[in-house]
Amino acid sequence: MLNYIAAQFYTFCLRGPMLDPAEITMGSGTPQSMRLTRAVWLDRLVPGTRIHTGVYIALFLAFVVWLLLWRTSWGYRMRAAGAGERAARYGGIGVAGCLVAAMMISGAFAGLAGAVEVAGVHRRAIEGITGGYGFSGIVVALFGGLHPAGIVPASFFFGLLIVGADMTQRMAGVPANMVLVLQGVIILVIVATRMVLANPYLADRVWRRYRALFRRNMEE
Amino acid sequence: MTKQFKVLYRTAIILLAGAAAMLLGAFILWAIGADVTKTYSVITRTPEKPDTDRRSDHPAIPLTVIALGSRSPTGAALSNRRGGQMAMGILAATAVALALPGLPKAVLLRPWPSPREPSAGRHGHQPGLLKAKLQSASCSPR
Repeated sequence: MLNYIAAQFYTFCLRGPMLDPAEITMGSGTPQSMRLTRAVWLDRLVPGTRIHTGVYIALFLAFVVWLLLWRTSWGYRMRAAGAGERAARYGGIGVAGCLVAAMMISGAFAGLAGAVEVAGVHRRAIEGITGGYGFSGIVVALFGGLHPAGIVPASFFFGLLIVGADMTQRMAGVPANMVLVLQGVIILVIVATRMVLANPYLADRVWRRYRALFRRNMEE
Repeated sequence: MTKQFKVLYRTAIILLAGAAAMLLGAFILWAIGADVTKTYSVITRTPEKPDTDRRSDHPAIPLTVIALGSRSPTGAALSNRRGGQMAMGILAATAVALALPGLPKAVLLRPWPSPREPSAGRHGHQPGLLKAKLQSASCSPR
């Protein structure tokens, strides 16, 4: 949704008004901004790794999201509007307002993620920073069970998968894009699992079989 | 149905799902002629070695924040890919950091609110508005 417009605008800014003057002087023209001042860099937490203090921002946001969505009436309305639009509308919830607010919050979080990535890792705006994060974010949210407590470990798992994909290209000769295929498989499995878990008839049938088996074993 | 059975049932389904995902992935890797064991081993082990160039901690932080944004919205924005909004946030944060080099980090990178959120949020607001209009039009009585 308007992603291509934003991507083109981003490229235009990096190749035009925000291009590093040093690139023009040297003539290389690499599309990147000037390096940010050291004052705004996020510090590395563990030497030798790329983990930076942005992790505190992520954990703080996880707490805020949990608090807002699970402990306030506003959060309840948002969750209701997302879970069942017609039912929420019938219950008097302004679904359209929730939708717009949801998209705004989503955008704001994505913007913050970009700022954290720039201040923590690249220290300047360069092309290709956003590649893949938008889609992976959806998979991570689903994989984490749409709950902050699940999303944080799921992000680290997918981080592993994304970095591993780069490695497989170099070390196992498997195309890095295979990680997208694996993400697709994971989405299918998650959706199927949710459908199975939400089916009370299946759970009841398994329960009856389990009980019958347990009784037969007791009788024997 | 006892509580113990419910927990057991859910755990079994989730474990089966994990195994199914691994098997499907293995089948696809096998179909393209890759070494399945080696590929899985590289994906899970190599990024954690200290001498590795990139590590899993690198993409995990932005992924967490983006995924939290996906959750915070409800199912509505789950379908919204946030690459463009991330780009707008990067532009806004970089522009402010370069324009005001003396600005303290605590001010520039505080989680909320600072220039990048309104900028990226406004970008997310536009498709949100369009989607809400579309949904209300399709749901209105004829």
